Amino acid sequence: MMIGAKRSIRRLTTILQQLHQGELTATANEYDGPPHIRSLAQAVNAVGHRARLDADAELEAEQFRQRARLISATIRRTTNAAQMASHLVRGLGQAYDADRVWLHTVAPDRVPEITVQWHRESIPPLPDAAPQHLEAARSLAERLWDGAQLLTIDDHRNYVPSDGGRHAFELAALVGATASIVVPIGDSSGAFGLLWISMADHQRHWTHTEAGVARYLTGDVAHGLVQAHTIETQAEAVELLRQLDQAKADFISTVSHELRTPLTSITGYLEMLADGDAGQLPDSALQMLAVIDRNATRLRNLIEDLLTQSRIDAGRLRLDVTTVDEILTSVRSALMPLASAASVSLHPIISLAGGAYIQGDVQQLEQVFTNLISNAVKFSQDNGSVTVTCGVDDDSDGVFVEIADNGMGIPSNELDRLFTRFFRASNATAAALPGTGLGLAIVAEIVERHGGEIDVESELDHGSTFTVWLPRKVPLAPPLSP
Amino acid sequence: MRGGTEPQRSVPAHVLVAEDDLDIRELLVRKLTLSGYQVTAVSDGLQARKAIAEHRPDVVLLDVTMPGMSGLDVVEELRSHPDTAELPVILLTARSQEFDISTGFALGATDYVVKPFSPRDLVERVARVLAGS
Repeated sequence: MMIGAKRSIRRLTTILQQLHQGELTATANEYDGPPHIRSLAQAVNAVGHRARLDADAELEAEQFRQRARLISATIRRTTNAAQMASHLVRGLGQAYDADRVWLHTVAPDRVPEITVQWHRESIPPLPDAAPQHLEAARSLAERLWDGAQLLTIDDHRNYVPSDGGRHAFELAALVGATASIVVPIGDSSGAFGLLWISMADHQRHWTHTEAGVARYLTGDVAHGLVQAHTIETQAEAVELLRQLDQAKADFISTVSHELRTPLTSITGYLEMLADGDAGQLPDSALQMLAVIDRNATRLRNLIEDLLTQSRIDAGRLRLDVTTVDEILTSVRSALMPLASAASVSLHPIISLAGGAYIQGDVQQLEQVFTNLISNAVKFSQDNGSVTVTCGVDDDSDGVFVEIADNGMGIPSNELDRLFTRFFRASNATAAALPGTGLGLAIVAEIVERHGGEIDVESELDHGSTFTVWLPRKVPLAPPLSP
Repeated sequence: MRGGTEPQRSVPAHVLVAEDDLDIRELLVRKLTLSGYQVTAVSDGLQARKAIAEHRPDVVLLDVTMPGMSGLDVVEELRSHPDTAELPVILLTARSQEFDISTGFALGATDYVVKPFSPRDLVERVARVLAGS
């Protein structure tokens, strides 16, 4: 008997050691040995069971936190407020296994206006909220925010009638919620939105982790919304400035042109009088004419300066006759350091025929080819190769320049938006290659203003070829200066 | 002939002037007449088109900015007809905007003058254009 009891105790000791070492599947035989040993075995198994439950809960919580981190990362990847909000509600809906998640912003002067919801497929979406419901949401958001609170309501039928709870109760009826987590969204200046996670037809106990994660992610979104609003406001301000700048340039340009017309008659007749076209004038009259002429010239120079300024402001063209070879050679040598830093071979310009004369603004055309060639380098991988070919296009009697690379290429469904301002190819963005989305828009604008055309062919992962056509210019004797 | 301003012909060359500003139009007529040309002056593009068909001038001075039909429109049309495809055209523009000028050349203008211009230079250009045609 004693020997049997000792053996049983040794077995139980081994089980306890195993449990201690994390072997949570270890169980004691509850039917072995005398009654006090059996009850001891039952106690050991109860401890093991508890440890298993705790471990499972911990694993589940860790998986939940992992999903939350993923949502957080997804939110941070975008600066588009609407996208951010829909990532959040969808992510939360799935991570929380909720029936409905709803986000609404209530301060249009501080953050973009957003109402977004995710819901389980088996339940209908919420109708668009009526103004009084939005007002209730705003009021609830403010109360919760000011009290630094969030609501976790396990069962809406018997929620404690606190201040926030009363408001939530009214909204719960609208949202059709039976259990909810309600989190205010805001920043140091106060609340600007509300997030509502809810179940539609049963009670639910919300864990501390669930409440904490909701609060944490809402903080991410709050930050993102404020940032998105700032970006939007800035973009609007920039656009307004651009319009004002254009209006100013147009005005100056128009005024200068209008001033030239009367000046033409003044200086024209001055010259004719001085030339004796109206007969020989006395010296005193010629002296007077000289004063008028000097001041007319002064006036004309003022007009020219004014116009030059507005031309620079508006980026107007200054035309010179040149060959594309000349422009391309200078652009290539300027870009060689960039190419060698990127380990991309930028081959010498291939000029298929001489006489590729064009009339254009050399500075602006240099801009065109700098943008195109530096793009070709930028979007080529290591050991990539960029080839620039130019010549006369017999079909159109134009001059063509072809810039070919063997880089990452452009998705075919994005080609038609490529020359739109601020558009960036998705693979370029995904590869985190720097860029403003303005380079090709500028290229297209300058080419168009030169009466030219631009085209692109591209194959994903194999490279892109941009071709620019410019009207050919047969050089004339330089015109006399006016 | 080269460098001179007097046309060396038995019959004076005929210049058509199309300019909507009355003072500039008269200035051109005076200067060109004094230089020995026969001048016809009109005040817009439509009249210019009609006058060219009627008078068959030797050279045309066209203001770019005119009501109705612009100087650029007129050049384009002249170039599209075999009878007038080679007719010398000098554009007068109040815009120094080189873009207008390049468009003018692209459409087939022979030369251009930017306002305010020197009447003396203009007459020299007319002579040069006529000598080249």
